[in-house]
Amino acid sequence: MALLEVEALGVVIDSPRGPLEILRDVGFALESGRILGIVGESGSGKTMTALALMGLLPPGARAQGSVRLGGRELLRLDERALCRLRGDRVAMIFQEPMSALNPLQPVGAQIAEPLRLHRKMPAAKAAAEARRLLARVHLPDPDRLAAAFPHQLSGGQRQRVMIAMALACGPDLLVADEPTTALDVTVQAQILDLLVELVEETGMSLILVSHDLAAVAETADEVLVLYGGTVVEHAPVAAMLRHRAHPYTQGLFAARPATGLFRAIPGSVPDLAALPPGCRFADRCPLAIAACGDGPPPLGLVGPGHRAACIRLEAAAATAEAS
Amino acid sequence: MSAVAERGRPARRRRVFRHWGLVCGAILTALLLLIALVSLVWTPHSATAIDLTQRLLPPSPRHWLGTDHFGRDIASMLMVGAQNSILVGIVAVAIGVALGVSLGLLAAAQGGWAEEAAMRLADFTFAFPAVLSAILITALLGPGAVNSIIAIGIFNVPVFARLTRGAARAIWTRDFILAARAAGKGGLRITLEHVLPNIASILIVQATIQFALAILAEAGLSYIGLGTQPPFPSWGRMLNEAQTFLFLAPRLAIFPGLAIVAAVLGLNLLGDGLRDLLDPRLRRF
Repeated sequence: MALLEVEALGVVIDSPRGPLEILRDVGFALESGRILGIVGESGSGKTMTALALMGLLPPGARAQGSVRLGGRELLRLDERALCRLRGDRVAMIFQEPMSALNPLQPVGAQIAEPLRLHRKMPAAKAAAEARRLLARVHLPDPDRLAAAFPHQLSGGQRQRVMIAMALACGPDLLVADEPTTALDVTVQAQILDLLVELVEETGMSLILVSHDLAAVAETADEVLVLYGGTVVEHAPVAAMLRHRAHPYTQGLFAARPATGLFRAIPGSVPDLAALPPGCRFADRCPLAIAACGDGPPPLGLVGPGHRAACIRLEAAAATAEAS
Repeated sequence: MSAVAERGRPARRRRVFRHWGLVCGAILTALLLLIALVSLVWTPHSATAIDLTQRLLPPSPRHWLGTDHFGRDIASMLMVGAQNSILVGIVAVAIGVALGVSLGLLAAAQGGWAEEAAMRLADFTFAFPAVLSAILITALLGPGAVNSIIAIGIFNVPVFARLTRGAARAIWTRDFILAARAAGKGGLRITLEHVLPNIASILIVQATIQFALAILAEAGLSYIGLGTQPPFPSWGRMLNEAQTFLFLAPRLAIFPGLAIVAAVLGLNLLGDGLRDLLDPRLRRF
């Protein structure tokens, strides 16, 4: 049994114009010690997926479907049970390491907090453990750093502190929501290396949410591509690098700076209040035909463990060959 | 990083002296506290002893600020009156902080109907002019120092409730609150450990300003006879009694008036100065 099993996960927001289905039918399974990358542009539902897994959806948003961690259904847990789980079995790190740390507390105390909360560790022991964790995320001089305040640290140091805090209780699953977006390129690589190293060391699973395809390709074992709140393609990284089955993923790869061409995908992400009944990418898709608007395309198997949601997979494969 | 870490404390000290208003306010407030403390053990004369042979004397080495129409020593009365003002200020602000801040924190943490209820209650209290409601309460409960404290305290509650709710709501939207929730903390822990410390500076500043307003309100209530009762001296009642002799001995009104001005000005300057000092936007420079 996989550590994390997500089935038909959806998120609905109540708006004055009626319920908005901002996430629809997301499903994947993640084994222990594996890294799943979730990619997509802004508004594709990446962060909502992460928050739904943590049970941290904003007020007014409801999760549907099923999220099982170690066989335990998370979506039916009440807030108290979720509080016991968060920071202990599942942990999360955020995009902005500056604003994700309390500006008034020394970072050592903030790292010790989950240990005191979940492990009921006495203050002195938790403080010692916090210093050990600081050393573990390769921060120099942990004794002095533990007493520092967030504003005295650099962005990369702060993100390492966040990671140390998330690791405190040895979680089974770490959800990283764009952990490197706010950092310099060189620091980005270091943070990703650290995450990979920690996954190998502890055997936890990592969900890496990012819009940076290159970062995900280098780090993750498999990739889930989201568009307009639906899964468009799900594949092992190696397979994805060889062949992109979905026209959107093809467009996303063509828009990488590395190609030197910078081909943008025309149009913009769909308005969540007026989602088309069929394929949500159809109005921007170069291969769209009338049938694309009929209903949501099913996830078809492209290769081993490689699925894509498109009814024009043959045409897409042909254009991929041509280019 | 080490340079920044070691700069923290002296930088703050230098900033204190750059703010002359804060220094003036702190000195005036300290002086007020000192006078009140000294008056507990020593005053030049008894503040309540009547000596009709010594009425309406001008200031002299024996009576520093002269005497009133009963021959009481004005300097001594002002000193003892400071006790009264401080007591009213502290207790009234404490009532306002205790009830108002809890209400505001609850409203911000819960949202929904709890927030609506708490804020409409605050609006209801706000709808009555502060001094009028204080008059109403003292008229109901009877005049006296304790009742005027309660009245002023009640009018402080919505001030703190609204301020706390607004500031706390802003903190609740910050990422570190989400991070704290992701670490498994519940609403109460987050409120006490993350929200309250982050709005404390705003509350401290407001508390000094409300302290000044409470002194002013107490003087007002005493002036119209609803506050501190004779024979215990109060600045407001000294003003009232001075009215009759305004042309004969204007100093009877001037000295307690100056005392009120100095106390209120000092506390306001202190509050403004603290706001500049504690403003997080200035903290890093």
